[in-house]
Amino acid sequence: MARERSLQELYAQDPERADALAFGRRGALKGTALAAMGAALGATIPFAARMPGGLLPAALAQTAGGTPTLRMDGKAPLILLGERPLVAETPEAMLDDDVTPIDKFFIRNNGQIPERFAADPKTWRVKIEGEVNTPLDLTLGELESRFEVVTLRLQMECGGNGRAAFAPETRGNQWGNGAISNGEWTGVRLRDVIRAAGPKDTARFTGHFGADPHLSGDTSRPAISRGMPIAKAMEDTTLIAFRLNGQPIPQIHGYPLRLITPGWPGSLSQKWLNRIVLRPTPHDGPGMGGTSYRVPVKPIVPGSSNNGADFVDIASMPVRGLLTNIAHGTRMPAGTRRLDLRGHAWAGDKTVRAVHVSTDFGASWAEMRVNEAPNRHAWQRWQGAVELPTDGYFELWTRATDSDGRMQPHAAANWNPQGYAANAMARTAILVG
Amino acid sequence: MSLSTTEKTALGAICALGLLVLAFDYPAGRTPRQAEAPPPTPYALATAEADARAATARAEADRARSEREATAKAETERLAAVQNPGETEDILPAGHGREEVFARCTACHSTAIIRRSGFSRDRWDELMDWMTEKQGMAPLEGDIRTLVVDYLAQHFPPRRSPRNANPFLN
Ligand code: HEC
Repeated sequence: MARERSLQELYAQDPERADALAFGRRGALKGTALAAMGAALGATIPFAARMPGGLLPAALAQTAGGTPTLRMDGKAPLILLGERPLVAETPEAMLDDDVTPIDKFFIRNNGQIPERFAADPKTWRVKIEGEVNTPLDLTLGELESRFEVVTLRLQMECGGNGRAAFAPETRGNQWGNGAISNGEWTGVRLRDVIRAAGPKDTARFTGHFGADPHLSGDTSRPAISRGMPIAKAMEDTTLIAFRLNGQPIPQIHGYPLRLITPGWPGSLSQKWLNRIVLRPTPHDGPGMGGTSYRVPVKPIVPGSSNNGADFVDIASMPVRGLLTNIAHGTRMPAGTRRLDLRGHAWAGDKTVRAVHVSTDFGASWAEMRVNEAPNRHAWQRWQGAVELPTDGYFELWTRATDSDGRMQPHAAANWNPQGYAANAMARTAILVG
Repeated sequence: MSLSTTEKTALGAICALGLLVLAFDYPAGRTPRQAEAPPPTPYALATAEADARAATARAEADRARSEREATAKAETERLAAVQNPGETEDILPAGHGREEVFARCTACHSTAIIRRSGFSRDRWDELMDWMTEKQGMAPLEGDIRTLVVDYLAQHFPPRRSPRNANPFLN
């Protein structure tokens, strides 16, 4: 009992030291430390010998202290990361649906949430201007009647999803893996609208503007205004959307009109969209340049200072898989030996070729079945089963592989000051017995 | 026969007048003492129907407008409440500089953004410049800057993995 408390306390107070003590110099989990860790968990760790050095059991790697919960009508009890700006993450086990229900959509705001548009939504206006022959100023009603309306299942993922896995910790919201959604979006293709405006040869990048005020309330300052290369804007899955899962888009998700730029950082899916400017050069609004949504080409020392001048903008998000039918921290009856598993996987602009699950810290892997996506840029369902040899503490490691053969790493790679594009594999701790 | 525009207009007006007279005259052509109202003309019927339709559409538009406005107001208030956790200073750990940090750092955002962070003193110091240059915070200089940055560095140093409670230890 005394030992149990001391180990817990050690991890809470000084995880680095606890880690060194528990793993020893060669990184293997040893005698008394192993016993202590088992005691602290209240279970044996059957595959302890295979635990890679420096990796704590997922259940111990995290400091004590509960995470606050979002309490809001129309939203599930998401993990509340901040009230102002309002930011909330979907727990992985709430992402089991093929089409993410509205109440389970994660929330990320960069500024204040604007007042809800009180007039007829069909009168909301959006401008297309800049390097075009015929600037457009269209109502939502005109968008809907003039252009082909399409409905697609599209992933939308925060550029910082997975950030909490970075060591040392970076700036930014400390997302686990739940800043992802796969809604059914209805809207018109941005491509069709840009074509109607007659883009000039110099229309090489976009810049997006929305109605959300800056956090300071300063109206001359956009909360966020990002842009992308024209090729991404012209993809047939990049939409100006006005419905989510058959409903008008909820206020917190951009009512009545937003961009959906699937597979790229969510900040390119501008909410409360009212203007798109076509430009000869990359956009320069808040959220562009420096270390914002940018990652090193030449990896930098984790924790070092850098102004991002040599970084590049994130384009496609990296491959990621989630286990969605067993929650992290689930306790199962003694004698449980077979687990049916399922989840989703996606890979930005690419597709997912394989998903594997390990119950022994990566020593062996079971291949899961992966379905095709119903349309491009939708996430893919995977399912399968694993066997457990005994009762005890296990971690289910979920690892997806993209269509280029690139796998999720054990640890978040390519550390960058604002913590983007981390895709360490998901780890779900379970306790049998 | 060819008519000038004026003649056409005049003729049209006479015809319309005639119709109107007919329409208004119709009841008068009957015995006033008759108990039953005469059946309305197709013209009157059509007019009444059009008026009723217009009134219904107006009422519907008014109703939709006030419903939208009420929804918008309720939604705006609801979201304002969610964004305002009503924090007081003691949400931050006690220490020298807490008062100044709470006063200067909660105009734009709640303290969650501070409490979720863990940085070295240098990184906290850099962040003050970022907040001023990119986010419009009033510049923080001299003693007050030292006080604020010292407080932040002491109470929010780097941690290993800042998220989630251990699911099996509590
Ligand atoms: C004028 C408005 C304003 C004031 C005053 C202000 N901030 Fe900020 N701060 C912002 C904005 C805007 C952001 C970005 C929010 C976002 O994107 O979620 C931010 C972000 C942050 C972040 C997160 C940075 C990151 O990338 O992780 C921290 C930490 C922070 N502020 C601390 C402070 C502290 C400490 C003070 C007081 C010294 C302060 N802020 C005062 C506007 C302000």
